[in-house]
Amino acid sequence: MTGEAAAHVGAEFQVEVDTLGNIISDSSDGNDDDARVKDIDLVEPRHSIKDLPPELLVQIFSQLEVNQVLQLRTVCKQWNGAIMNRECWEMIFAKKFGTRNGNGYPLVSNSGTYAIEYFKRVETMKKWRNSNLKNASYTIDISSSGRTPMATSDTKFADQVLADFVDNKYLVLMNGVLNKCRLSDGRHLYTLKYGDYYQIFCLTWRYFVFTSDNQLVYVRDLKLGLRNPVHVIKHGQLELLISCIAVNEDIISSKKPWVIVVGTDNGSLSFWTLEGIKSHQYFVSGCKIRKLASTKNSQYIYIVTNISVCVYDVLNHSIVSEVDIDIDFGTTPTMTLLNEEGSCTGFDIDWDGRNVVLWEDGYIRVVDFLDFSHPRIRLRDIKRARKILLGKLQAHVPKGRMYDKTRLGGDGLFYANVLDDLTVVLWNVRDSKHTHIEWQCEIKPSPKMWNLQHSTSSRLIFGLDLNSLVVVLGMGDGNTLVYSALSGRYLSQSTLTPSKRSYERIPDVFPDIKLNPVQTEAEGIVMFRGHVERFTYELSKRQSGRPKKSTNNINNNNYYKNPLNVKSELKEFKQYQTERSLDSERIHEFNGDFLDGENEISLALAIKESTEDHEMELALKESLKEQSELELALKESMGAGKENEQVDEELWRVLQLSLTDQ
Amino acid sequence: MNGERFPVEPKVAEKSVLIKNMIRDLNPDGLQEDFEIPTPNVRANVMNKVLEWCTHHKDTAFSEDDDDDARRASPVDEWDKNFLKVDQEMLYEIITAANYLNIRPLLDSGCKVVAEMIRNKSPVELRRVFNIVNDFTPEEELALKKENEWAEDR
Repeated sequence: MTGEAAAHVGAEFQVEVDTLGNIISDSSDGNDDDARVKDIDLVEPRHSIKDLPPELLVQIFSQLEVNQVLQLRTVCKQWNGAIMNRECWEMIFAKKFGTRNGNGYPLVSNSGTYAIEYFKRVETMKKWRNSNLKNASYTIDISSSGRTPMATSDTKFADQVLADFVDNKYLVLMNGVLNKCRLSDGRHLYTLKYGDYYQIFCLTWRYFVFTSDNQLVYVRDLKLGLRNPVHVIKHGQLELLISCIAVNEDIISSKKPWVIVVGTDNGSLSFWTLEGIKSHQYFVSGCKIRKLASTKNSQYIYIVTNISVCVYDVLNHSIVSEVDIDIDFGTTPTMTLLNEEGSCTGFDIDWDGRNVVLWEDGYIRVVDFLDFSHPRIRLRDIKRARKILLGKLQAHVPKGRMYDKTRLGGDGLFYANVLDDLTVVLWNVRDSKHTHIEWQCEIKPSPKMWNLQHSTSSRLIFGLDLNSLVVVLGMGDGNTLVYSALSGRYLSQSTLTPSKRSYERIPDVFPDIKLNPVQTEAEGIVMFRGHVERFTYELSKRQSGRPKKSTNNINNNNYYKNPLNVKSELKEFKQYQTERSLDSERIHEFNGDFLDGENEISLALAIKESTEDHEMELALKESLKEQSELELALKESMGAGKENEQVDEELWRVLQLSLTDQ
Repeated sequence: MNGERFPVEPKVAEKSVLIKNMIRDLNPDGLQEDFEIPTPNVRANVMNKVLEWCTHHKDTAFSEDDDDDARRASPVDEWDKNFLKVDQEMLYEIITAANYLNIRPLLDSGCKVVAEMIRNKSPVELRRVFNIVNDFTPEEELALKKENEWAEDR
């Protein structure tokens, strides 16, 4: 026994052994005879962690937390290389979410590292998949007798519904009424009634521009609330049928004299100031202008005509890029989506203005304007489909994110459409080689999920929205179904149950779905027959998700009877508020000031400071005619401020009234 | 590698998707007797270990891709954990073999075991545990750390 023990001790002096029994080699020994060591390696390959290929290393790392994975980069070059290897992470991701294509997915995060992107995706997907769903549902006032607008505009730049998840507000145009409400609880901020005015319109947070008789264009500055007069643009001759309107708010901040662009059937493009003065006119020869879209922070306007798609440079007033398309893009002045009889044509544009997607019957066309001198057009024929009923490009981070080649995920952009056999097909229109419109997945909502008792029309899928992770479908029975955008797998359901009464009362209001453009937030709103429902998916564990103000948890009354719960809730809310204001600040920093960023309630409360308020000052400055004269502008802004105060007092009274009503 | 042969039941061998597909492709009418599959990339003692795992799990039903999320989140099976209490060299060889033979549950367990060895250790500790030489210059390392700080902010 003693002999053995002695031998064991003796061995310890010679070789060092770690906890797992690996021999830790003595480096001084190895250096003396490198060649000999290599020979031995060849005979009997020693496996160390170094021998694992990067994809296996990444598979191991994917089990860890994101922060540690980032730290692992400093261990050695091999690990750093593996962690920065995009293909490896994509492979793991494809395995995890059962996707078919290996690469070219659009990004979820703003990250420059694919490892971070991977963890963000996984976490967000978890939210959509196994988490607590919070719903807040409310009815908006559409009691006006105004009729449903004839057409729904189908671009992100002329929506009937705008939602701002950071500033907690949404704007919805329904049945001749423009409602602005709080997103969290549906409380009305204001209501404006428009009746039958608008057939062609453009709605932004700041302006509502519309026309009814092709002669006059009305401009309503929403910032000035209820009382401001409607500006009227006298467009002119009868034969100039107005076909589209666009408002470019960025132009305001860049001190261009015009704000509103009006396109007509004879190819004229006119630029107007808010006061109704025409500042410029351009003729796109030989065609009818069908659609206009302007993107944020851009000097370009995208024009869809009956024969082409053009990019118009508003600084030099010239067309910088043009692609012919051989479809007549709509025969009516505005496009009608989901029109069962007519031609189904639609159009959408990417937020950064790089891709324009057009669809008509069973064809998809994607125009890529990355290089203005060589715009590329791609075509895909969905052979089995007679018609594309509805189409949409994915919701992107809308503000300030321009396309950047060096950025990850620049080669992915999802576009989904609803076909007439009620399947939903998802395409990647910005694939890695920029040559195809790549099929991503297909969703066939199971009829079991449909409660069809209320659905009389064939409009079984009324709306959709999508981002890099999910496709959300609004079904004709009011259910909202969530599917994975990568595999088409069903994930969850958030139910909306409009009352039977509202079904009868509001037969056919244009519905919509909006996802939070910040894709790591699993939330969105659904508008359906006068109901608005906000849904938020949160991780079950509190610490992993961002704490949120719990909204409209009516069923949870007992919860709030406990003062401790209320306290913690308040604390969370405060934290959430600070986070949100930080977010908001970041966005402002990133994009410059938003003139429309103000919430009217806070405006009314903060009215005393209004003249000192930087944003307010800016807004007032712009409302003046002589923008160049700063001093005068400042002087007058004091006067205008007082006027505003009255408006806001009125607004405040209206608000108080609406409060007491409840 | 050494010309060794391992007679196994088809059920055991088919835990490997690679072998399963190979059998299916070469014998579409069903398996004839005595079918030999060369696995040149796997050493004999590693093959022994892998087959031990396959034999133990021959009746285990592993969830398919559909439930992938749940499977990946679950902790390592207790038997697997003990089975993988081997030296690092063997562990990596098992992982490499499982990857090559396409035995995903074994690969997952192996990766999880290595991930547990890494979890909550500093880079310095990790270099010691895994016998890794720091091949960064101090400047490079500093630059990486700065990059990480920036990345964590996002």
